[in-house]
Amino acid sequence: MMFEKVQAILAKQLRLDPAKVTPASLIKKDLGADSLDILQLLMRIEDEYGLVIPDEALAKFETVGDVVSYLEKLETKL
Amino acid sequence: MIKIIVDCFGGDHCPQAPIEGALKAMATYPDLYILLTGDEAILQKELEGKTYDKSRLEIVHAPEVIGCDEKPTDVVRLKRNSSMMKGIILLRDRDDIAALVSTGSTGALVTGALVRLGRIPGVIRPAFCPLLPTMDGGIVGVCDSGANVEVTAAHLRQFAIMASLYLENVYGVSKPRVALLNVGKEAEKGDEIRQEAYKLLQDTPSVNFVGNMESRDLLSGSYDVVVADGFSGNVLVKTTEGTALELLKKLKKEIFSKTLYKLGALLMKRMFADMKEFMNYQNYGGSVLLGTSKVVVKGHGSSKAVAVEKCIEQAYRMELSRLSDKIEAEIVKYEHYDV
Repeated sequence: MMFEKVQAILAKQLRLDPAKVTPASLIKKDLGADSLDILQLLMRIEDEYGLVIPDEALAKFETVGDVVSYLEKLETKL
Repeated sequence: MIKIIVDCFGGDHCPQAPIEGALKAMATYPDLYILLTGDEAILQKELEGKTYDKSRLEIVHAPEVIGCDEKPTDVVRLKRNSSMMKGIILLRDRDDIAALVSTGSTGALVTGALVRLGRIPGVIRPAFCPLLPTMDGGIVGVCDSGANVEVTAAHLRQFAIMASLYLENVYGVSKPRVALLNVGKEAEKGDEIRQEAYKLLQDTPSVNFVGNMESRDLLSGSYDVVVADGFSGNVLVKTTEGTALELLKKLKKEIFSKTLYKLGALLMKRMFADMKEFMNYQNYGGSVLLGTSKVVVKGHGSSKAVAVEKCIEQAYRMELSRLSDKIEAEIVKYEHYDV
């Protein structure tokens, strides 16, 4: 569920075919995103769930799967 | 219908100036639809007794207020219900809305636009491009004038492309003459970034690059676009505006120092009034943020109704010209540099 949401947002934001966005995709290398793209994705997630992701977490995301599992953990805490 | 959001709680004359500016723009453009963001009760009260087409105006309740000393990053992340952030989120989420006009905090607007609204694909960093009047009656855009303190040569090339398309498509300037702000005119002048940017601009066919420009020539009318890092561009614009204003004050002081001067000035009264109008920044709208996925226009914090009206007009014309699509089509022709 969370993966599909992240996949849809990233595909729209980066204008990619959603099929290209997989859990193993490296956000920067494979999807051509930069640090601002990642921040933009997280802000959108923050808005949707009404939460604030701590700054220190932002630097840790390398793959789409990293983002998804972080958000899933956060979701279960809510 | 072109829908534009007007942030009503940001500048010195809020909410009266944004409301009056919006109503004036609506009267001029029959296909303009305005969304006012801010405290609904206050906005309703301000609108009482005013004449306007109610079917083309809506209020979006955004009660949170941004304090003067709040950090832009805190505003962006914690003040989602402020008039500015609500406007940015609305602009991002609704495909039918074209633009946002704000006279609020520059830092919060840039940060919010970057991380909430996003960029045109291929754009590395959005940049501000205010317009100044030139001595030959034209205009000159300075890009960037404050969004990016540190830049690379690739950033400067993108600023040149975006600002050139802006002047051409929104103001009808044919083949805008683009210059690079530097400490001398020769190609080898300046630091490594400026030297590299000079070469890159020479190799950019879509940009009519005419070489380096020294700051004293900004208003000469020889250039349509001046490309700079945000720090230098900001200093350039503010020094130019400040010098012009101080010179006018000095002139006024001298005129009133002697009766003979006063008599002479009386004969030139019309000319002085024209000069004042020519130099009044309120007539030139705001500073557009080029490169964001949708149109964002930043008005001066002290904007009055006429300045807000001009900002709305800029946003309207930018949307009408499909500038974002044109920037995207041009930017993708060049190599994308990661930040």
